[in-house]
Amino acid sequence: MYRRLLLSLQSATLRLDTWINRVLPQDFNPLYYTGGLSNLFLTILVVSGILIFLYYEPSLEGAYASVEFLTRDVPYGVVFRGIHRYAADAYLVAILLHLFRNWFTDRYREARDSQWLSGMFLLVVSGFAGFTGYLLVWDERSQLLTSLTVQALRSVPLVGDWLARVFLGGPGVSDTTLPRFLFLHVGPAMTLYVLLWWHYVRLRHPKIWPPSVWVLFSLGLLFILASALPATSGRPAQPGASPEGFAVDWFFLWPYVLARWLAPGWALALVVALVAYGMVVPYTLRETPEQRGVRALGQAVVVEENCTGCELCYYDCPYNAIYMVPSPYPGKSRAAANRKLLAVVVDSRCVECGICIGACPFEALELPRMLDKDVQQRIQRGARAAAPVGS
Amino acid sequence: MREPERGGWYLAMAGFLAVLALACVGLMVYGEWFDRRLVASGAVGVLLVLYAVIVVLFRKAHLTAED
Repeated sequence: MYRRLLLSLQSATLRLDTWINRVLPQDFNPLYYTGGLSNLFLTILVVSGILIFLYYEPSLEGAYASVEFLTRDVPYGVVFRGIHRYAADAYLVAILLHLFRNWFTDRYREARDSQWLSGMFLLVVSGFAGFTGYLLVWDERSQLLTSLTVQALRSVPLVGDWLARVFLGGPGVSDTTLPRFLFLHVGPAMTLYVLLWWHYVRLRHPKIWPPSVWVLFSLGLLFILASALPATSGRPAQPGASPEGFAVDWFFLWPYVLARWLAPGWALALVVALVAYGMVVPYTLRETPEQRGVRALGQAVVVEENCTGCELCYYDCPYNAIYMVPSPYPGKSRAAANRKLLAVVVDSRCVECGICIGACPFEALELPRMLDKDVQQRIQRGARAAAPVGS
Repeated sequence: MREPERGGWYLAMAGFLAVLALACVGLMVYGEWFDRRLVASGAVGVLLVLYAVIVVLFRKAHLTAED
């Protein structure tokens, strides 16, 4: 059932690609750059965030006034605030598109589980940084969000009170609360780049930036949104008041929408359960090659006497599974006699795809369990698939 | 797939959008001059989106190649 659902989602994703490619040139298809678009929006968030940070005062008395000063009195301050706010929404949308696209096109398992896990951490940390951004304005919405979050944290068994105290920077809302919120906003945002390094470290040719068309379009859209629908604050937070409603931003505050029907503790439990499920997704459909009806080909092996140290396999391996090391001794073939480098395969990263074998013109790599008849079968299968119908 | 028969149409559209982009530059100046900054920044946004669409139209008219 689950497998069939994934297959139909994969088919729908690929159909959507085909449809977009009919309208736009193929290298402009935005769905090919969801990761790059996330990076673009993150960069916009960082730049606009630094500008806003210059005016922000993290105190109970000064926070709201400083945000209002930025919005009303600083030239184009309202635009920067709006760009920061809408870029956060766009960032989350891009991340979710990236996640679902890779999920539905089966690019999250086996050797790609590292990217999936780091991506889940990126999503969680981004969501948290986005949520804490709403607290910094310190209007009625911030006050209500703070109150609901404290309730949810206090309902956690054993460590609930401690978590609430860490969140508020003390036993209750005090002068240390807003500096704590600022730290909880900026601190996680800074870790995003470390997580991005983890996300990319095992990819050879990641698309880390979208084409210029999408940079222009995204920036333009943010300017339009920030101008047409300026980001505004609610009424200032009142000590001791308990506001009941606020305009919901579904992207970041959906758990608080659930809080209308669920106790805050249960809403928090649901978020934790969803994240936990997200973390195990790559391991829900583990199949051995035999279960998939194919024979394991074994990790690629370097035929050392033939390796010339040309680095073609190193550049072509999409999984960073090949390293070049100084050659300890010359090769045996004429081409390899004067080599300076030698290819080494990292077994744990090799997915037996055979790309390195195609890349190597010197027959210096092989999949040990791939026989000639396997190659013939693959060629025949490919030829049949490519042949016109009826031929 | 090449679409040479529509190349002229794409170029005409790009030309039309370029005129609109010029109008946006006018709006930017107007917004800054008369202290209507949301108009100016909105015009910046429209200008950037128009540039993006013009780049796509140029590609579809085969005036530019892949990056």
